[in-house]
Amino acid sequence: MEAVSVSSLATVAFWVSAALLLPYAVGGSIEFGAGAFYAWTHLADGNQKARAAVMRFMSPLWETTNVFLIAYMVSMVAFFPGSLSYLTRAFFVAGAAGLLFLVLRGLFFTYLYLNRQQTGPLAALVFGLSGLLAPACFSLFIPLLAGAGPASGQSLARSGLAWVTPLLTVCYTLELGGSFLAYYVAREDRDLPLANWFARAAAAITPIILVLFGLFLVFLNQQAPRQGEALRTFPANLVMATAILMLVAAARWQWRGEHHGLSLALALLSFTLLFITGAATHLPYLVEAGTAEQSITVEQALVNSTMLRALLISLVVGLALILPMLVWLYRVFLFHPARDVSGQAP
Amino acid sequence: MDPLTYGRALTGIALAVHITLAVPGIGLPLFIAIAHFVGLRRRDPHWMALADQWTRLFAILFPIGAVTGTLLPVLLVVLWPVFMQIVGEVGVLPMFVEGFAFFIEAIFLGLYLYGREKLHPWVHWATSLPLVLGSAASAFLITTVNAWMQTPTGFHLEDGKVSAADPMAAMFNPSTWVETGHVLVTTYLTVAFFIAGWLAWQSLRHPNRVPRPVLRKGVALALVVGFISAAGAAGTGHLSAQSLAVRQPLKLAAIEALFDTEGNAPLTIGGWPDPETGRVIGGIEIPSLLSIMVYGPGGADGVIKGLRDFPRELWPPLIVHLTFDLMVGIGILLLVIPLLYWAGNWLTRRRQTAQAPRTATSAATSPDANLGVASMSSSDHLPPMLEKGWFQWLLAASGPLAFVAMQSGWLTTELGRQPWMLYEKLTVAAAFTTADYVPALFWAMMVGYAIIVGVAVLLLRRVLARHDLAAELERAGRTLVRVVEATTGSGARQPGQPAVPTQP
Repeated sequence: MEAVSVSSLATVAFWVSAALLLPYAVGGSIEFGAGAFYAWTHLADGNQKARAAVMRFMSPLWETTNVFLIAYMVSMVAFFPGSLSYLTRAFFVAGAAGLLFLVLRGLFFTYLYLNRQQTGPLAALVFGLSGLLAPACFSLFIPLLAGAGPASGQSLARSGLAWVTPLLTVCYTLELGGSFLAYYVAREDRDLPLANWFARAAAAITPIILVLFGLFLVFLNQQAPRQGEALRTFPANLVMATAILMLVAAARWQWRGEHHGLSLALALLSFTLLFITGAATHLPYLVEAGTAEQSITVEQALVNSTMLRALLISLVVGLALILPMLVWLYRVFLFHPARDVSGQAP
Repeated sequence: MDPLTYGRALTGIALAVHITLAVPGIGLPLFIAIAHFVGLRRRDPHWMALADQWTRLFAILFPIGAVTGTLLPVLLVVLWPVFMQIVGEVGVLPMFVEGFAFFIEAIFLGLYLYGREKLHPWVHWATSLPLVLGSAASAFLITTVNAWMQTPTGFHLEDGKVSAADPMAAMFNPSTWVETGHVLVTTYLTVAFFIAGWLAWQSLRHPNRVPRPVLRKGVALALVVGFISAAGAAGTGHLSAQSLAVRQPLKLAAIEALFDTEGNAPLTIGGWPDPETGRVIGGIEIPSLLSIMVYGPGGADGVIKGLRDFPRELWPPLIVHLTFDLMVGIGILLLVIPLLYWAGNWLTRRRQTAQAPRTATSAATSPDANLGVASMSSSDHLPPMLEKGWFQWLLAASGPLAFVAMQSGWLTTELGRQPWMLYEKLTVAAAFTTADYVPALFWAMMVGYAIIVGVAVLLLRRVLARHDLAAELERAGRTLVRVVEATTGSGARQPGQPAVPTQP
């Protein structure tokens, strides 16, 4: 395919929307994964402490995490209205299903939180399961952007990429959730056996992630050869290798029950590096299909320049306003000296 | 039904559900912040109990409102892609900025709900203020988009292509200030009567589980805010109608059921406007009043355009005349209820004082004056009007009625906009999707909304049954003990005020 020129503003808009999606992918994964562990402990061994920890860290934060998703969706409508008709057509079923699971999970979280004393296993199961199915559905966004499905006139179900991606997402979700809970429980509850249990769970998933990631790369290379080629060249290949090494190192420590904080940091960093590499090699396309006519570049989908300028200005002002607030929120509830761990709230 | 009707019905239902949930989400923080402030300042467990119960309500409604709010942009994009593409090019700025207001709400919701033990009592109270401002900002920003649909400015539309987009002109269109003003004021109005009604309902159902001072204080606050905002609603509503006369005269003619263009136009209250005969069946006609309302006291002969001045196919459904009258009727009732309350209390007390001057003085002099210093027995008296069953029932009914008024107001605005999506620029039919799954989507979403509403009701019932006002009061007492512990030594405590509430 011939080279496509992309203005710097289109690239900025692309990275802004990616920057809104990344916190959701990270924070959402941690919460979805933690929710799955919540359901597991409820069904398997009835460990009250694990569930209390999940409720305690999620309750003040999950609404804010959700806003990142909404902000990402609005940013796509605002920055790239030209992609709207394709994306709604292609992503409608998966997106609607994902939203339904997200809604169920939100409702059941509220229910479980407000009725802590008297909830049965069914509610916990719905909460945990919907929290895994939602990201699985949302992750179909990746094969769709890579040109699988309607863009190339084929069914999404016949694309290998569309099968591997949700599986990889679910495993990564569990890995991040387990890594976070290990760190959080060790730090806030000083409950090392429980922390080690979570860490071992995260470590046990890591080999599966590696296999699935390998498959993912193979299928991606089939679906979008240009991006596959870009991923094989420097520096993308080096960054990916580093990210994989980080994940392996984290799993090694986690299996031995050591360095929960460092392992979490490595797992998050490796996820972030992979996310950024994927986004960078995807440019200049928003949707990359087999032919140029079916593809949409960020440039083609970009909003008019007047609106773009207004959006970017309000973005800078808005971020300056909310970043300190976000820092305060996470300081109070995640990195606060543990004074009170009873988790009392209305 | 054809797909377009399904699409419109789905949009209408989705918005009606969201508005019902969002309005308490916008209005409650104001009441929470006031009650929490007074409670902390006076070390008064009654106010704290009110703040706690309203917070609990807010904690349930906000996440569910966030859920229905997340569904809305998706539904709009799916059902009205042509419209949303124009929004993306011209009108999306306020939606984008609203994202930040929503961030502020979510962040401070977390801090306010769960920061009680982690923050200094006054800092904890202060985290409720961004909730008040953030939610009001959200309401303002989203309403500007609706105002833009009524009076779309800031772009040219030719053959479906947008040019000369001016986002600021779209955001601050001619309807922005009147509409956002009316929406914000009526939001607080609705929530004020929602609160008053709910307090009255609890007291009717379980009189011994509603401590009387809590009832008295809660109703007093709700009716003060209710009266101010009802007056504001009348004022902004009047300005809205005047704005319609200039910018959407056809809509004004429809909601006032005025068929013929005339000076000395009458105001018709009620009745059924029959589009075939061009007459209003039934209804009360007040001569010249419509002209006077639009043109001012000296403008009785001012000409108002009637429906017949416009092509029949552009008429909105004439039911808007009834939804409009319903809204105005309830609005007037809500303005009268607080007046009735104060006048009734004043008259009864005056009569009591005249009959038994000595015994009545202690109850009549400001009940707050000695609150908490000694026992609370003096404030165990309810104001006379709250002792009357019929008034409690009236108050209890005012809550749902306020919601009915709000919904009929939105019905008037949005049905009155028909057949336009963007007034006089894009029709609803032209904005609609060509996809064939709309009826299926409609039924799937109905199931979805039934689940959402069902869970919401279940949650409210379960949680509020275990946390009635008596239980809240007990908890508020414990909170205040902690507050005193946290603030003593800093000199914040005033002499003579009790450290520990005397009532369980």
